[in-house]
Order: sequence, then C-alpha cells, then structure tokens
Amino acid sequence: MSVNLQLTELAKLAKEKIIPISVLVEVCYKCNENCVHCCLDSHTKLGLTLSQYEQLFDQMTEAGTFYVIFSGGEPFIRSDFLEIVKAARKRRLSVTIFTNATLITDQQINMLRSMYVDEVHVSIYGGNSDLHDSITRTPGSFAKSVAVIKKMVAAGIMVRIKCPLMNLTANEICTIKELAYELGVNTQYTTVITAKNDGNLDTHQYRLTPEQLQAVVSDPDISKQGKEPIYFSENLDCVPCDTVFNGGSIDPEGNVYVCNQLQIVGGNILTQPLSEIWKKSPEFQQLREIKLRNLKDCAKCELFQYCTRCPGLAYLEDGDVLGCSSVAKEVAEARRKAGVFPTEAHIFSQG
Amino acid sequence: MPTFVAKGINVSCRTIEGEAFIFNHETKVLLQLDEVGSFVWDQIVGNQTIDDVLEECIKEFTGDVQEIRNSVKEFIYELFRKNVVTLSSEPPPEEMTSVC
Repeated sequence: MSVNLQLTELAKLAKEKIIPISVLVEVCYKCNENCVHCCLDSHTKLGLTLSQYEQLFDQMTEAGTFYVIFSGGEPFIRSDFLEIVKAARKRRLSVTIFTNATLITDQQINMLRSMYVDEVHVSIYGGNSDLHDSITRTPGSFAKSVAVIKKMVAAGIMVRIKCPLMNLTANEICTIKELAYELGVNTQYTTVITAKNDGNLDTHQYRLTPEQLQAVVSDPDISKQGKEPIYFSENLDCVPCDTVFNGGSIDPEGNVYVCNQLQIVGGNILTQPLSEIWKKSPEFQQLREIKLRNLKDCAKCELFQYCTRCPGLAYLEDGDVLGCSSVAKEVAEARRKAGVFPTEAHIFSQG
Repeated sequence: MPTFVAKGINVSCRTIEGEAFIFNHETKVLLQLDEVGSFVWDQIVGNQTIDDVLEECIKEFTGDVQEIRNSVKEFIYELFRKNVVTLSSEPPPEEMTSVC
C-alpha cells in the first residue's frame, strides 16, 4: 500500500497539479536587528492573529500545502510564535524557520525539538562578531546567534546558516565556512542582495563587485554548477520559474504572492481561500502562461546559458516580468568569465 | 482494551487528490500511499481507536468484512513499524494530536 518517494517528485507533482506545496509565511515585519541590506521597506507590520493563522493552516491543508516556511522580520519577536508553529504542526505541515536566533530561549529550543521542526535557518553574515555585528548594526548579535545555534545543534535540531554575500563580507567566506564546520551545520549562500520590496535600490551598494562575483560563482561550495550549457532554443516551452506553479508567499497582512520576490498580489486569505486564490487568480494565471519563448531579451542574449534570471527581480528592479534582470545579467557575466554554467534546476526553479 | 492510533508528531503529511504523502522527519523517508492506504490514513485523526478506523473502512470498502478488518489492521501495524503512527492503550496527549 506504500512506496518510497523522493521529495523532488512531490515538487514535480505539485507543479503539474498547480498546488502551493511550499509556502513562505511572513509572520511580522518587526525585527530586533537592523541589517544594512534588509529588503523590507518598513518594519511596522505585526502579522495576523494566531486564530487567523489557524484558519490559514486549514486553508493550506485543503490546498495541498506540505511545507511552510516561517519568516519575518524576526518571527521570534512575536510572543505567540511557537503557538503558531504548533498550530502548523498539529496540521502536520512541515515547518522551516528563518530567524536570527538571538531571541530563542532554552525552553523554546526544547519545544522546537519536540515539535519536529524540520530546519531552522539562521542568518549569519561573517565569521566573527565585528563583521556580523556591523551588518546587523546590533552589538552582541553574533555571540547570541552562535550560542543559540550551538544549543539547537546539541538538541538535535537541523540548523542551516543562511549567508547573503556582500562586498563587505566576500573576503570572509573562508571564516564563515570554518564557523559552519565548527558548528556542524550546512551553509546556504545567496549571491544577490535584492532591492527593497518597494523597489528602492539603496541596498545595491552592498552587492558583490564583479571580481568578487566571479570568485563566488567559481566556488562549487557556494554556487551549484551544471555540467553542460542549456540553450534557449531547446527550451522554448519551459516555464522560467516553477514557483509560479508550486510556491506561494503570504505577507503579514494575508496578501498572497507566488513568491516574496515577485510583488504581484493574487488575493488575500482573509477574504478568499488560498486554494481559490492560487488556482483562479487572474494575476497568477497570467504569470503561469509565461514560457521561455516569451522572454524576448533572453532570446537574443549571449549570456542565456550562464543566467539564472529571477522573474521577481526582473519585475522589482527592472520593471518588466518578461524583461532582462540586470542583476541576473551581472551574475551571468561573472559565470561566463569564470567558465561555469548554472544547473538546469537553478535556471528553471531558482533552486 | 482499545488500542489508540495517532499520526506521529514526527511526521508531516498531506493528502493530494486522494493520495497521501507522509514524510518521517526522523528517517527522512517520504512515503506515498495508494488510494486505499490513503483512505485509512485519513481516518487517523485525533483520538481514534483502531476499531474506530476499522468501522470507517468497513463502511467505505465492499467485500468480506473479516478480510477488510485483517488487511486494514495489518496496514496500521505496517505504518507503526515504519514509525509514522503511534499505538497506545491510552488516548494520546491532546497537545500535539493531529487535527487533520
């Protein structure tokens, strides 16, 4: 009556059936840190109530959601955050948490463990307190984050360091790797510092320089590499990003997006069920119509085979969901110079 | 004495178009159940006993009642061996009992 399956097969099935299998939920925009590169334009939104989140998780159950990723702001700034996690786990949603970890208490670590939270991703920006604290603009934040990571690892919780690379931190990558090794955790790097979600580009000043980018994309520990180039003409009917089929993102006011990078609202879960928004929103249906053949700039671009264009960033930073993403182009240029290709999954799912 | 059956707190699961997917966070194994197995899985909510689940299955499936009882019972024990359900003589604590 049962067979074993790979998690990637579940994602494929969700894509075929248009199911929001993995949904990011931003439970608040408030934060106890003040990071220089933060993509949020405001930190005032407090999030929905516990009861509204319980209703949302019921909607997710109905819609077929399997994974929920809690993010913020800083989720643990909410005194009821673990009640929200508990409500999700009671519906047997798989839970991952994005946090800076500084507010997590010993008691909360035990609760996270006993609820079988799948992973906790902790933002770390450098391998030492001087650098990290200068990014968070919060003295003592590095020491607190690292102390909590150690306790979570000791408790048997799967922890991952999330490290957005910046020009300020690029020379410290080896110390971050050493720290991750010492802590016994995996690291997930991102190479792009995005604009603020209102389109403000001030955060771009922290982006990697072209030389730093080239070094980063050459490092297989940081940037996954494909074996062969992928050609535009051979993939005309592919969709540029799977997330429009099997993703989902919900902001602190209940607005639904296909992804938190792609700021197009499909509806609000306080007035319409998630499954209905996901399948019937005209905005989302329109996004799902987009095929590679519709990306006219990509068709003639010699960097296509090096590019991991994100439709969300193309829309947010360059104003056209079908157009060129200038930041993706910069990264592609660095890959071309380094002579490395991205993976197929990286191109089509932003994985 | 009744035997209570409950979805393990160590699992995440979802039934999509009649097929249940169950991920065991301890073993990191993802199971996919067929239509019959998925129906049985979906009956395991809250404080059900094995007999409660059997009754629901007898209502749902046609065939020899004893045969249905035996195969559903065997299936529940298989789920127990795979560590995705718990079996106990007392109702499981409400704290983390699944609500779906």
